[in-house]
Amino acid sequence: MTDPVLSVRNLTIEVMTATGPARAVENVSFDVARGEAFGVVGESGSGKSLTMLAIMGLLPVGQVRVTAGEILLEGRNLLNLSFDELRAFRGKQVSMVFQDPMTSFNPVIPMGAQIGEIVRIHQPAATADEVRRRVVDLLDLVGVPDPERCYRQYPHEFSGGMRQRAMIAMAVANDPALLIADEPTTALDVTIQAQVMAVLAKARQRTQASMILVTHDLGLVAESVDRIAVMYGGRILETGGVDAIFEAPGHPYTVGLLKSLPRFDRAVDTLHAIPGQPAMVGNRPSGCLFHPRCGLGEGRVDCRARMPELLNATPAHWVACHARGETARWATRIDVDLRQRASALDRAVPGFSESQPLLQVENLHTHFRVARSRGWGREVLRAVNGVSFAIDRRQTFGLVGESGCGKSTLGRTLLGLHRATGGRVVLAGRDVAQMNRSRSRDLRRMMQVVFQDPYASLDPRMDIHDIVAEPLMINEMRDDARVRELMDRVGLPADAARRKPAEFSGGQRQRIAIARALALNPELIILDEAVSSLDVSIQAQVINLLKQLQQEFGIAYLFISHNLAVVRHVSDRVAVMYLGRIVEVGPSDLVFNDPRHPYTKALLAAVPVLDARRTRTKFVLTGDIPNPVRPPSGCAFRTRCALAQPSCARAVPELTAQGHPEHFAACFVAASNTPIRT
Amino acid sequence: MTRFVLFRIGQSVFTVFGVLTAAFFLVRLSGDPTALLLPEQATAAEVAALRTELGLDRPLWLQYGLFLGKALQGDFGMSFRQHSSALGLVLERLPATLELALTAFVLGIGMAFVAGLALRLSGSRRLRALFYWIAFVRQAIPIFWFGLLMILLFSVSLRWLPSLGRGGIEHLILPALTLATFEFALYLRLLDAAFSEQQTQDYVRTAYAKGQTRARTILQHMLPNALLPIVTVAGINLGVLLGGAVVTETVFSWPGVGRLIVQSVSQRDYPVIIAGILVTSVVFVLINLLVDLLYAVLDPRVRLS
Repeated sequence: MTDPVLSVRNLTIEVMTATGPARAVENVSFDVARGEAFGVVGESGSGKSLTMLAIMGLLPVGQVRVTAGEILLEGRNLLNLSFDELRAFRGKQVSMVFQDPMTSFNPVIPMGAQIGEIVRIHQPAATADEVRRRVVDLLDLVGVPDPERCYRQYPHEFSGGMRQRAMIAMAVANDPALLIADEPTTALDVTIQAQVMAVLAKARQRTQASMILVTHDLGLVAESVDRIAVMYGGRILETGGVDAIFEAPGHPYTVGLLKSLPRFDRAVDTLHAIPGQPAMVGNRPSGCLFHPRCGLGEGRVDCRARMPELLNATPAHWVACHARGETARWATRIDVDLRQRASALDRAVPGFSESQPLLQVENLHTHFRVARSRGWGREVLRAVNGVSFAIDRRQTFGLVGESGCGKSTLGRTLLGLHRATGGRVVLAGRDVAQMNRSRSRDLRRMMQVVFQDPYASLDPRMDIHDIVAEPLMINEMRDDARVRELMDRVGLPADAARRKPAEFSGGQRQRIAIARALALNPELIILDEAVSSLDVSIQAQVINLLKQLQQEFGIAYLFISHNLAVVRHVSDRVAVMYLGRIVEVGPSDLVFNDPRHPYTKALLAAVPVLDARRTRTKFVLTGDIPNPVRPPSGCAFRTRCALAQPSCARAVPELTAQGHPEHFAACFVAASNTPIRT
Repeated sequence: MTRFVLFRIGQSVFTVFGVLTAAFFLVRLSGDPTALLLPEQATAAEVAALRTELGLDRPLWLQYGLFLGKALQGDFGMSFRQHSSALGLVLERLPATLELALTAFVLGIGMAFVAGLALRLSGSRRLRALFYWIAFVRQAIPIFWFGLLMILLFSVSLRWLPSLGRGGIEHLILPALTLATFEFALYLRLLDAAFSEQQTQDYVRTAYAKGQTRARTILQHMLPNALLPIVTVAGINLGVLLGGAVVTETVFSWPGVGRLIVQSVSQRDYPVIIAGILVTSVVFVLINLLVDLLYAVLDPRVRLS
């Protein structure tokens, strides 16, 4: 074996916290071989991003520093180099694709100049014309349409996917030996994610670069890398070949991660949730980092006493666990357990069927008047453009679609936060779409909401008790006992009442938001991407909680999400939205197992799956979602559709039944179209 | 872009109209000028005659209509006190105000940029502490007191510079420095805060990840972004300066618009007050228009929306 491109040895990084320096990364070692794709998997606080920034020499000065270890790139220790010596490596030998393509470009400099910059820095002799030609070539390589024009455009004129392509173009501009991609697709929709990952693979192939892919998305690593390291609390807990680890995980944390993920291929009613909170910097448990959350090591003296070493299970598979010999047996027991809980849950579900649905939405429209980008006047944005569906009591109705499809606007319209332009919304027999202010208070008593961002949706100056009590106070039903009961019900400690939101983690904040939504005993809760910002282990906890609450209180959910696996897991029925319209709707099993609309098929095909051996029909959607102000005529999806016929431009397809009385799709060619297995 | 410019120009015209209307009525509310213009022992007939002469005996709406009609022709009437056109009096003073305000503004903002960039590029904490200390101390001293100290030092003790009036460059130095140091303190802190905000932006990290030097990252990447908040404040602030730095003009007996307006207010010289307000508001509105256009040049995101 030739020398590795990158060799990280015993890296330890300290962060300044309020209580003094704390180790954020501890004793991390790994190699990346030439041409290899290496995945680093972990939840927030695992230290994965800090490790990558350390390799780039970009740790924030003053607050964070490397206290031990070596980072050898092509045999040279980067930690011994000065800022100026490091500059020669950055962007040349090692370059980075950052997570957020929205903020990672300078907003006031044209795109071409920003990409050209990295060429000019490392090839000072290049003429302006040579730099320009190189940039246009790079943009072409990553599939940016019309590179000459894009050269002069500013970042805000690029879509998220196009910006990330440009970021990749920039990263590979000088043929680096190592490419670090830190959550490169986390901010993007699945279909765009598939495009970007394909571009990344192509660019790597061209430049022969090794890659480190940092992500929390296990499906994504399964598809894109050869080996992985699982990080937790600043340490590597397990490392080895991706197939070996996903097949037979050696660490209970890896087992937990894999089982807490909702999956398409294995239907379970309850997800395995790793209990507790991740070990955060400055608050790490003694002994094994993971022992307070571990179901395998329970009560063992060793686990509490000392951190286990990373030892090899097989020559290429290393695990840091005292009980690593028993992981497989324990994992099987979890499965049995989940199945038993699932059957118990089944029995608990009352056979419920009503002729009158709880919520009936008929031909709902929400239009906005927006200023024209060019010329005078305003034009109409049809965010929700004729949507009809019904939600039964105690049911979960899933709503999926890419960003910009109108799913959040729809949720907000139902809540009365946007005024409906037309159509009817009937909640428990009452038409609520055109309600005035005073009556909308009654409406809110029946319909509540949990938003996506648990950091922005709680008033930072109110304590938890007041936040949960506020809906009661507004309705003049002050009841402290009820607040305590609600907090207990969602799993918040009793001493949380007088603390402020800032003291809680994302998952706990989302529990607070759920308690607040429950306060008025609503019939329906709108969950607008309510679990999307949470780490997988916490996401599983919250999903399980939502399911229990539904059982207990008989609430219906409108579950809005871009995450198809999660929607599949929680929903009884599901609707797929595209540019303001529902293109497919039906029972969850039918829509996901036998999708009829080409858009649904494309969405499903774009989702990375854990099982790397399963060959997927690549059904990558081309292009971006069109501008919703000027949607294509006829079927709005036809511009990205592989099956589009000239006739699709003429009329808007109606939702028609697809082989089952409750399964509908709006496509002219769906009926004649043989199902594509995804 | 043209739509944006036309829209802003329309807005500006509307704003000036609003200012004129408000000024007219506010001034009328403040009392009858005849009492001040005539000796105390004036007879009722004399008062009535003056009221007729000044047009004060007509209904308010008619006065307003006539006022607007004349204002459109640039006629704000004669000064009650000095027998020359009100607008002429104000415009006569305008060059003095422009000279002082622009000098102080350019000097102050120039010093702030030199100091702000110096402390960013050097990264020196001591330099930063020093500049901040200077800025704090200067901002803590009221303008009139600082002006008096300057006069005491440079005019009375050292006898280097004149303390009063307008003339050659030597007359300009003291009032301009008094204002400029204040502006310097304001913009230094503003610029430094803007840089601190940019420092943590993702695009800065991207620039370093490309292998860019510190100096170029600061000058080419951070500076254009840090300018944006400065431009907004600078526009408003320059407008205020041009409206007449009343205190400075008074301390140094600088014959500017601000001092003229203050004098006219105490004399209830309505035409001059209104002409002064008009000129000030036109200047203010023009500068704001320029700021908006400059903003669109600096920030491509504004051009589209």
